[in-house]
Amino acid sequence: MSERNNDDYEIEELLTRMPKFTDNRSKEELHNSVKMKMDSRHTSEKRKLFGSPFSKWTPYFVSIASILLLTFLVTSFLNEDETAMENDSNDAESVNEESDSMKMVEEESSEAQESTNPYNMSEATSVAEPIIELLPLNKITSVYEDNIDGGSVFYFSFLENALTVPVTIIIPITQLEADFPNGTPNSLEMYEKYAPRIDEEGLGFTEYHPYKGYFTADEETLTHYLPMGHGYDTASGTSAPYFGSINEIFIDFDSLTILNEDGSPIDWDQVGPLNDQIVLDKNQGQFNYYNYLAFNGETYLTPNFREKYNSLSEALLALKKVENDIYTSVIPEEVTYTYKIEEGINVVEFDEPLDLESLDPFEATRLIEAFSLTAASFGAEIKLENIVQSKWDVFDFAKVLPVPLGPNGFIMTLNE
Amino acid sequence: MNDSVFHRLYDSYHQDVFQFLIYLVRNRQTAEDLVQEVYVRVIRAYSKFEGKSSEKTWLFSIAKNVAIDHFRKQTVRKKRLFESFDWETMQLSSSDMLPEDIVLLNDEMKALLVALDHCTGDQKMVIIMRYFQEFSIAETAEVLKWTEGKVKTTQHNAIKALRQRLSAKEKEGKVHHE
Repeated sequence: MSERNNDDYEIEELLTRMPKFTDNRSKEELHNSVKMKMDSRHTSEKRKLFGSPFSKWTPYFVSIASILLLTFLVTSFLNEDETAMENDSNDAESVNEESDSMKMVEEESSEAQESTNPYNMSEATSVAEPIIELLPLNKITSVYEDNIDGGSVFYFSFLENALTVPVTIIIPITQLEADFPNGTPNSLEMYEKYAPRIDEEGLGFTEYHPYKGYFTADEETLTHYLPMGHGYDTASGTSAPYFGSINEIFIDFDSLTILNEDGSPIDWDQVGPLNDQIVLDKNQGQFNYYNYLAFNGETYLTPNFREKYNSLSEALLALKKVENDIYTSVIPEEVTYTYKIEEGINVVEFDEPLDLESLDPFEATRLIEAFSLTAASFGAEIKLENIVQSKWDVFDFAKVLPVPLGPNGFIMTLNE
Repeated sequence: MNDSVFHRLYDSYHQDVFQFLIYLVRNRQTAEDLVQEVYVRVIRAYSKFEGKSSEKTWLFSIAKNVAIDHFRKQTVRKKRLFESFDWETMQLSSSDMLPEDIVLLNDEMKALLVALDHCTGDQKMVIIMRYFQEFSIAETAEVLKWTEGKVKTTQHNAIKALRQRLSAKEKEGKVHHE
């Protein structure tokens, strides 16, 4: 045996001699602790889903008698299956506790006054407006037209680890009317109004927004004026989230122009002068969707490094293939499927009957939504076939899946 | 709460799970908290357990996830937000152990634990499972959702990393003595 192998043998022998550490607590003590932890989490989740939003919104309801909003909240939250309240993450508790301590801003309408230059970032951030609290809708699932109930959606993008996580935030109708009395805002107006007030770090992400510099909008073109030393072009790790988030937020603009703050053409480090307009995705980036486990312990549905596909067929079939440690497939390894177009409808048929009950409820929902989000990214609808259950939550498998407006839904509330 | 599940799992695996966690986090209080979290997750998910893997590997895969979440959260708390948290490639740095636990270790063992802290997360997991928990290659692969080949390679690399680290420390010690 070589000396090297002898060393290895000694290490292995030492490893097997390591002492056994034991938990000195009694079984009863631990049992009680686990029970208390489960009870407190259950209570906390119920409080979040039922108590807190009502207590926050009650004064607002009274003052404006918004039956629509009440209906929306009741349907959004009461439709949740009890099991859907369960979540592996400890972070749910802390978010709940934070939301419990929130106070509703009763006179938010008084803030409806706009900045003289609504597109100026520095002005927007200097206005002392209340922090926006984001409550995950239906425990992080996509947002659908039925959820909006007359309100609107604000597309936003969280960042961590140089990766973006697209999110879809529902603005209740009353909030929208109070903030934008002159009519439906575009994505830039919403960004200017809300982005500086989102506590990204509080949600476990990097504090990234609002962007440096300022924007102007000219019909379908967005122009971003950047100051010297903005840093977005420092490396691929800064460029990618910059362009990724721009695409995820400004979904109603065709293109982006980036200029120096004085209006002169900008030099993008390692690329050179950016003379051409950059075409934006407009919510149809031709992506597919994977699980992304964020630092905050929550799982979100996101594209895989924003990799685009030439066709829906290619994107759907690639859903099972992940060649990195950041993203994971929503589809269990043993589940296979084929894609076909039947009478003009995109159909994914599972090779063996797929029993959604065999999955964690959130995993099952994410699996379904990864297909519908992928289809939506191509401007298409999709139908799933050969599922044991005929219905699952809001999904009726006899029909095409509802088209999601966006992934990772949140509802906006205000915190003072 | 499903009491019978708790009692059965406790009787069968509790000290093993605790040992797995305390070696990973090297802090008794944290290990105690994490093992509670393991039971919470297990009891909640037990109705979904299909028996495709053994109960033991299923339980340890949950314990592994609880530990990884703990390290992730630590990373967030330390605000190392621009650093990637890839548990397989990063070190899962641990806290100091309590004095009453340290007395169980001789100098050689202490040096080994320090060296283990310098291994990558995947190497540390494999060492703990293979040597401290005495898991088979197949069981380790099932917990980590890897191929058996990957377990073998990682184990080989881990032993190599430990050897290099310990030799370097030994040389360092000799220089100091001289």
